[in-house]
This record gives sequence, C-alpha cells and structure tokens, in this order.
Amino acid sequence: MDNETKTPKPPMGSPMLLLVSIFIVATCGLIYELVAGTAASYLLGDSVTQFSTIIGVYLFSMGIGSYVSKFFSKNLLAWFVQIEILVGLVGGFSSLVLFALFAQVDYFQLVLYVLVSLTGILVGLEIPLLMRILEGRYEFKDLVSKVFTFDYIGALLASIIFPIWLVPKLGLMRTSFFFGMLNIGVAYWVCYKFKNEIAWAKSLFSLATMSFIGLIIAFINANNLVNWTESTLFQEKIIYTKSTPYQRIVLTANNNQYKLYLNGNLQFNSADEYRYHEALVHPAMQQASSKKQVLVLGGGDGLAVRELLKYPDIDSITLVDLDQGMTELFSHNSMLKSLNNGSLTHPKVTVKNMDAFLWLKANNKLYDVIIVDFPDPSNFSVGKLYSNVFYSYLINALQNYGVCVVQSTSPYVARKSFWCINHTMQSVGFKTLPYHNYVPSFGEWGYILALKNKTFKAPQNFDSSFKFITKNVFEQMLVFPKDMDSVYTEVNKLNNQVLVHYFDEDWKHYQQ
Amino acid sequence: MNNRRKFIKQMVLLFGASAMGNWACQPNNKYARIKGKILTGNNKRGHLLREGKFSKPTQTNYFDVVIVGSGISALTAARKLQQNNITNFTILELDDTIGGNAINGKNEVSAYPWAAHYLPIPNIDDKELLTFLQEHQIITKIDDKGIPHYNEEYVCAEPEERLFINGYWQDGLIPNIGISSEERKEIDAFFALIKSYKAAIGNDGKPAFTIPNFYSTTDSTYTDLDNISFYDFLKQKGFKTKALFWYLNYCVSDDYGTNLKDASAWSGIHYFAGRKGVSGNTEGDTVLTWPEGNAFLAQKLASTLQTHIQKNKLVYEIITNLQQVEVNYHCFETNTTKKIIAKKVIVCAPQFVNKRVVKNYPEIENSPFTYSPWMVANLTVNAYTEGTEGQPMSWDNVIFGSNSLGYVNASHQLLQTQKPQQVLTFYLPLNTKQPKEAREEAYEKSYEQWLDIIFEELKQAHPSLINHVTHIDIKIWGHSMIRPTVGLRKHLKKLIFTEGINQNTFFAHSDLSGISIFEEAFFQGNKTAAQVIKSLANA
Ligand SMILES: Cc1cc2nc3c(=O)[nH]c(=O)nc-3n(C[C@H](O)[C@H](O)[C@H](O)COP(=O)(O)OP(=O)(O)OC[C@H]3O[C@@H](n4cnc5c(N)ncnc54)[C@H](O)[C@@H]3O)c2cc1C
Repeated sequence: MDNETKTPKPPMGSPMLLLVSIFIVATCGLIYELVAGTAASYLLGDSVTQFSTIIGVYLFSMGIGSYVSKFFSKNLLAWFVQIEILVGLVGGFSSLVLFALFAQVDYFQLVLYVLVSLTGILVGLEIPLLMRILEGRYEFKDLVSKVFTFDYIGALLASIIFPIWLVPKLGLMRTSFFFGMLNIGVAYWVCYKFKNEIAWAKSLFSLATMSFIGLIIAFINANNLVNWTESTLFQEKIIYTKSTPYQRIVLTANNNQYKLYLNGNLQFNSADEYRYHEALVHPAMQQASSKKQVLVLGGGDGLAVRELLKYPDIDSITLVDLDQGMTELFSHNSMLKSLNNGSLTHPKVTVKNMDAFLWLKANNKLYDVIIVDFPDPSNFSVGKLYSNVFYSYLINALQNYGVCVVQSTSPYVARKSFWCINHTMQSVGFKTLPYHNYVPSFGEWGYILALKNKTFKAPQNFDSSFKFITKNVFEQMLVFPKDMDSVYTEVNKLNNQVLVHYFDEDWKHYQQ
Repeated sequence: MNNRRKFIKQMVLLFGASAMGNWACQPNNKYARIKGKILTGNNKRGHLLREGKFSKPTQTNYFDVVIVGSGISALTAARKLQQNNITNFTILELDDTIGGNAINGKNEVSAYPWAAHYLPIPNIDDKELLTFLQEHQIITKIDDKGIPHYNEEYVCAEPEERLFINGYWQDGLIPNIGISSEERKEIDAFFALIKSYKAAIGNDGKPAFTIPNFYSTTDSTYTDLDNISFYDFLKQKGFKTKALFWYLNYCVSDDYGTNLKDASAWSGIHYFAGRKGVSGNTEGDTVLTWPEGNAFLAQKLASTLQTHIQKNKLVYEIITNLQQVEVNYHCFETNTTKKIIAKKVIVCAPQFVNKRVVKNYPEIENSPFTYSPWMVANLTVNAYTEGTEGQPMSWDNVIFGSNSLGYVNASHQLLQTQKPQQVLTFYLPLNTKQPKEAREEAYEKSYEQWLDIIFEELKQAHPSLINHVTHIDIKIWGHSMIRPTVGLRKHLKKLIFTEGINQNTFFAHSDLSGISIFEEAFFQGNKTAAQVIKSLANA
C-alpha cells in the first residue's frame, strides 16, 4: 500500500455529480453489452444464443476487469480517466466495428467475442477503481450502498430505454457513438475536477477532446444519406454494404433470411433461392449428354455452382463474374459460405473476374453446359448480354451437342422481354425450350433452355435430394398459361436494344 | 429530434465552411489534376514546304508508281494497284502514322479517333465500297435480294444519338423537346423538301444527289444550287426558325467544318439527300463506327500494304515531263533527301500542298480550295451520372445551341458491359471566322485556354465535368477538310484533276470531290488508280 490511500482526502464537491457519473458509467456499460447482443443477433441470427453467450462472456470479462483492478496502485485518477476514454472509444465504436468487419473477416465470431471481452474488462475496471478513488473521502458503508444503487439504477434505465427509444430512434450505430461520448464526458469531468491531483491532466484533456471529436464525426456520418435512404429502401436490417467499381452490394437480414441486392435489385432471398437455382441448373444438366466442362456466366454468389457441384461427373466449372468484390465476398464470408456451401473455393471451380462479353469473345474452349445468370436487362449495359451478337459467341462456345440455359426475367411481369430473349436465342441457331416456375420472392420466373444441334429429350426423374424440382414439376414448368404465352417480338441487337425498351414498358405497365 | 437535426446541420455547415476555407487557400490551378497536352503532329513538318530549303537528293530509286500520302484516298489507290497485280509501287507519308484524317490514339481505357470516326451505311450502288467492306467481314453477307448485311459489332450500338435541349437529353439530334409548333412545322417542311431531292432524277437520268457525287446529274436545276449559299437558299424558301437553322448549321459543321453562310446550298442538301444506305439487318440511316474511328478502315485498307509504306517522308518536289516523273522527298529519321524516278505518280495530298510541290501545277487564281481548321480533344472521364436526365450516354452527344459538335463516346462500341472510365472525343469546328484567321488563332492558344473552351462548351449539360476528367489531349487540325463553299464544284471539272498531267501525274484526294468523307476519298483513290492502271497498260 502506498501513501496515497493513507492520507485523508478532501471530500469531493457535490456528491450528486459523483453519483450522476456512476450512473452514466453504469448505463454505458450495459448499453455496450446490449449493442453487442443486438448486433450479433442481426448479423448471425438466433438471438437467444447470441444474447446468452454475449451476456456470459461480458459478465465474465467484467470479473476479469475487477480482478485486474488490484494491480493498479498509483495514479488512480489518471488511470480512471484513461479507462473512461478507452471505454468510450471501444464501446462507442463497437457497433461500427462489428458491422464493418462482418463481411470482411472470415472469423467474425472471434472478432465479436474479443470486442465483447475487451469492453467487459474495461467496464469491470471502472467501478472498483472508482470506489478506491472515493475511499477515504466517504464513509465505506455509505460508499458501497450509493455506488451500487446507482450502478443498478443505471442498468435498469439502460435496459428500458435501449429497446424502447434508442434502437428505434437513434439506431444501433448512433446509440453506441452517443454513449461513447457520455463516457468521455465523465472522463472530462473527472479530469476537470481533479486537475490538481492528476499529473498529466493537460494531455489527458486533449486525448479526451480528440476522442470526443472522433465520436461526433462518426455520429454525424452514421446519419449520412446513403445509409438513411437504404434503410428506408430496404425494409430489412442492412448488415453489409459495399460499393465496388461496378455495383452496390447490399446484404440484409431479417428473421434468419438473408437477401442480396445488387444496385437495389433483389438478387436472392436465402429462404427460397433454392427454387430459383434448382430450376436454373438441373433441367440443363439433365438434358446434357456430357457434363464434364461447365461454364457459368454471372452468378458470382456461387449458388448455381453449389447446385452444379451435386454432379460428380463434372470435371471443372469455370465461373466468369465481373465483380471481384462479389466473388470474394461469397468465397470468404463465413455466413455467405454457409449459403453456397463454399462452392466458390471448391477445387473444381475456377473463378475469373472478367467482363463476360469480352471473356466469351476471347474464349476458344468448348463447354458441355453453360449457365447464364445475369441481372435483368434493365439498362443498355446489361442489355448487350442478351443480344444476338452475345448469343452467337455463346453458341460458338458450346460443344456440338451442348446445352445452355439463360435466366430470362419474369414471363408474367415482363412477358415481351421474356419472349424477346427466346426469339433472340433462336435467331442465332439455338433450339429453345422456355420454362418457368414460381419463386415467392420474385414471383413467376422464366428460363430459356437452349440446345445446339440436339433435340429435347423428355424429362426424367431428378435426384430425390433436390428440394424443389421433380419430373412432374418440370413437366408443368414447360406449360405456359395464356397470360404468359409467346408474343411477337423483334430480335434484340446491339444496335436496337429492343429488349431494354420492352423491359421498360413491361415494368411500367405492371406498376400501373 | 428536431434539435438533433439542427445540431447536425450546424456541424455539417461548420465542417463545410472549413473545407471551403481550405479550398480557397489553394493556388488557383483548377486544371492541376488534368493531365495531357496539345499534340503537335505533322503541322510543323508540313510547314517545311513553305520554307522550301531542301538539300540535293543523294540517292535515286526507281518505281513503277509512287503514291504521295497515306490517307484513305492513297491507301485505296494502292489497294487497287495491288489487286491489279501492280506491285512495284511505294507510298510516301510525311507523318509517322498512316491514315491522314483517319488516325487514332489509344490509352488504357480505349482507342479513340483523332478526326474521322464513322462511315454511314453506304449507298447500295457504291459497289466497290461494298466489295471492300465484304473483304473484311464488315459486310457479313449479301442476301438473295442483293442487300448487304452488316457486322453488328460495327454498327453503331444503341443508344445512338442524343441532344441536350431545354435541360433534357432527348433521343435523336433533330430538335424536338420543348420547341414551338412553328419550329416543328418548319423542320417537317424541310424534311419534306429533302425527301423530294432524295428521289429526284436529273434530265440525264442520273440521281440529283448521290454518293460518290461524281455519279450525280449534270442537270443545272440541281448543279446551280452550288452557286448560292445554303443560308440564302433556306431564306429564299422562307425558313426562319432558330431550331432549324441551328440544326442545319450543326449538320454542315459536322460534315464540312463550315457554316451555313459559306456552305453551298448544293452541299447542304447533299448532306441529307445524297445518303441512301440500305442494309438487310439494320436501319439504313445508321453508321458503322469503331472505338478508333475510321482508323479501323485505314488499317484494313493497309493490311496488305505494309511492305510498300514509307513513313516520315515529306514529298517536297514533283517534276513531271513526258517520259517520267521525278519525286524528291525528305526523310525525317535520317535527315536526308532522296529521289525516286517513277513511271506514274498518284498525288493523294490536298491541293494546297500540291500547288507548292508539283512543278507544273497550274496557277489557280483565288483558289477555290479552302480548308476548315478543327480542334479535336480526347477526354478520359470517370463514369458519372450527372446531367443524364433523359436518354443516357449515347454514341453522339450534342448540345443544342453550342458551337461545338459535342462529343462522341469513343468507348461506346466496346463490348464490355461496364465501363468505369470512358474516352470522349470532343469536336470543335473553327468555323465562326474565316479559315485563315481561325487557324492562326488556334495555333496561338495555350492548353489551358483550350480547356477553358471545352468546359465552357459542355458546361450546360455537364456543369461539374471538370471533376471527372483525368486526361485531355488536344489536336489542332490546320487544314483538314475541304470546305464545299459556293462555286467550288465547277473547278473540280478542270482537266488537270480529271486527266492529270502528261499522262503520268494524277491526283486523288477527297478535296477533288468537293466533300471530305470516306466514300469520296475511297472513290478518288479507285478512280485514279484505274487511270494509272490503264495508262501503264497502254505504255
Ligand atoms: C475532324 C474531322 C472529322 C472527320 N470525320 C469524318 C467522319 O466521321 N467520317 C468521314 O467519312 N470523314 C470524316 N472526315 C473527313 C476525312 O477527311 C475523310 O474521310 C478522309 O479521311 C480523307 O482522306 P484523304 O485521303 O482524302 O485525305 P487525307 O486524310 O488528308 O490524307 C492526305 C495524306 O497525305 C499526307 N501528305 C500531305 N502532304 C504530304 C507530302 N507533301 N508528302 C507526303 N505526305 C503528305 C498527309 O499527311 C495525309 O496522311 C473528318 C475530317 C476531320 C478533319
């Protein structure tokens, strides 16, 4: 024991202020715990598991913090200020860190628990240190009773305002920034009150100021328009966004359903994507006489490849997707890998990040099966990938008896567009077989199976492990009700881009 | 809630103000981020002709035929000689690249043209041109009805043209959005008039207007239109609205680098009535284009000529007598002068050059051959969506009311779907003053002055373009296109141009068609090569 504790200390100014700060510290501590729990449930789903493991880890870490507090013997005030600043920063930025790293790192859980433990340890240090600072300035039994009373009141307040007011009004991110600022406010106050007793009060002061500014800037940016509009655009919680040079990728989560949006257009919903991907892949694979070499154009989410990998006779799959940001995300993110079964890192799969049109034009290899999974032809750039010039390169990349399939938008909403794709494929010499199915997230969806120098054989049984497609189901998919049946269209060419015009009209019509 | 918003607003203002402060303190160099320069090209080389100080040739070579220049007319002539088994010929080009007005540049984003950038779908009876296009798979087939089908990778992709007018990018270049009913009526009346000229046949049974224009009628009902300016013609017909006059001025600037008052009525009408393209798989009124522009065609023409082409050779003297022709030229690489003795010469340089170079060139008083100066700039830009209300970025992008022709997106024909960067070719005909004055002014201007002009011209449609441009190169064309001015056409019939000199010195250049377009240069090259082939056979 050093001298410091033995000398009697002057009582602190108003005890009220002191209690307020204990109260704040306590509230902040609990808020960080709630933030971590909520973020983890958003991102990983299964909120019961997330909350209980996080509470456990957090409380345990607080225990470590309390234990460690005994190793702090000198300059307690200065230590306390520093710890407050640190809590403010770590806790304040915790939700940002979690959201930002979610899609970037392979071991998200590790990051999550390291962060939770760190916050817990720091928060665990606060109360013991504070009590020792106050030791000798107040009577001990008074001290213990007051500190813990306010500690628990703070906790109660936090747990009430968090779900009722903070999350709905401020949002998770701003909540944590805001409480970070409060922690730093406490650091300020202590620094100010005890400037004569703290050796380096000045530098601590500027440290606190810098941290405070950092949090304010973060707070303002959290409000920035992009996020705001997106969170209104997407009704679900956004868990990941990324702007690549080519597109804006947004991943949302809601009740264990993940949805991927590219430039605001729904790409898949994890709840029913199997309907789409089974319908896209399996009919073509069934028609193919040989399945050794397979090419996938687009489809950077790896979900079509997941279906393909169910065929052991495939030797190699080449996937050409423009956007490296997309294929990296679906190769390395653990949550997304669980959706595509890690298909993109399978040894049979080669990923090429190139423009599909240029790649196909330069390609001189022949494929047995080609799966074409591009975004809908909603603009002139994508419209080219549905042109007769593109399809003439496509047919040249197929083995003599090869098969290919093209996702062809909705024959119900965009009837003319769908049949335009069909006619365009026919114009370069494909024999086509249009079909459709129902995907709840998309509605009626259409595909065009196209054969080169080969005739269509009647559907056979599909593998019983498939979740959607069977022989009977496929037979039904070939039937077009009157309101989706073939209509006359022109051929889509680079120099007329009629498909983009049809698509525009079709959607306008539908929305009216 | 409200307070928070207020607070945030204040913070934003505060940050904004400090950012502005920073910006204001920076040196006033708004173009600091833009790289590039004015390319000097062959202007300087050509000017050596005026000084005329060349040493005596030190070496003499012999050829059957010498072709001066490597523009479209020269390359076409060479191709024709080769196809007729004449192989002992050489091509002398002063520049370090072939193509003349059909040259291009290239950077990591795209190839881009420096001048000529497109060929309209040709007229169906321009058989020689169709054959050439078929040789190089630009025409993929001629169907049973004799109609050509074009390679769709070379046909201008959709969206083709847009015009920025009344704050909106409309589809097509003929003013439409927000114009008055009177203007609309005039535009309709003008096109009705054109329709009749397009179908008109002269008293000799030949079309009133066609391309190559050599095959059009000599009926004075139509040829007399060359004696009046397009402007006066329009006034006489009672036209007066701004929309129509701007549009037609744009058209004569585009094809001729001239303005309504200098261009003849014949040339103005010809612009519309001469083109009668037919295609089996595309619209007939569309164009063939490539990122590198007509350099694509120049390279195709030159594909079998590599061993014949000599670059960096300035022909400074052609002496012709009854027996032979002497061609003296300067080699820039070795800084030496050489002589060729040839049986025949095809001079594929413009007439303002020929009159200094060809010894027996006749004196033409008040030479009717005038050439328009141009400024062409290639801008490398990051993709951005500003000002795209209406039709998105197209191949040809024109701003109503502007002096410039706007820009052509050189990257438009690239097949890739996403283009984070593009190259835009900006065209400015220097036609508001007389060519000589405009040319001299153009040579004086600094790089920054040109940038000022470019951004000013495009400001209306793209106010913050400057933030998206990374590179701008500029080229000044001093004498590039023949101007089809009032009264030019009668001079084209002069014997020297139709028959050459001494049966051994012949001329072929688009200026002898009175109109500077690919089809005419191609025609000139073929026509003259045919004369040479014939006279070689006769000898
Ligand atoms: C800005 C601009 C845009 C244009 N756009 C188009 C277009 O889009 N489509 C179109 O069809 N046309 C266009 N043109 C017209 C173009 O000029 C013609 O299409 C065609 O390229 C002309 O070919 P030419 O052979 O007649 O002449 P040039 O291209 O002028 O060729 C003459 C050649 O002779 C060389 N030469 C000159 N003097 C000498 C000498 N003393 N010794 C050796 N060599 C010499 C020159 O360097 C040059 O290479 C454009 C022109 C300009 C200037």
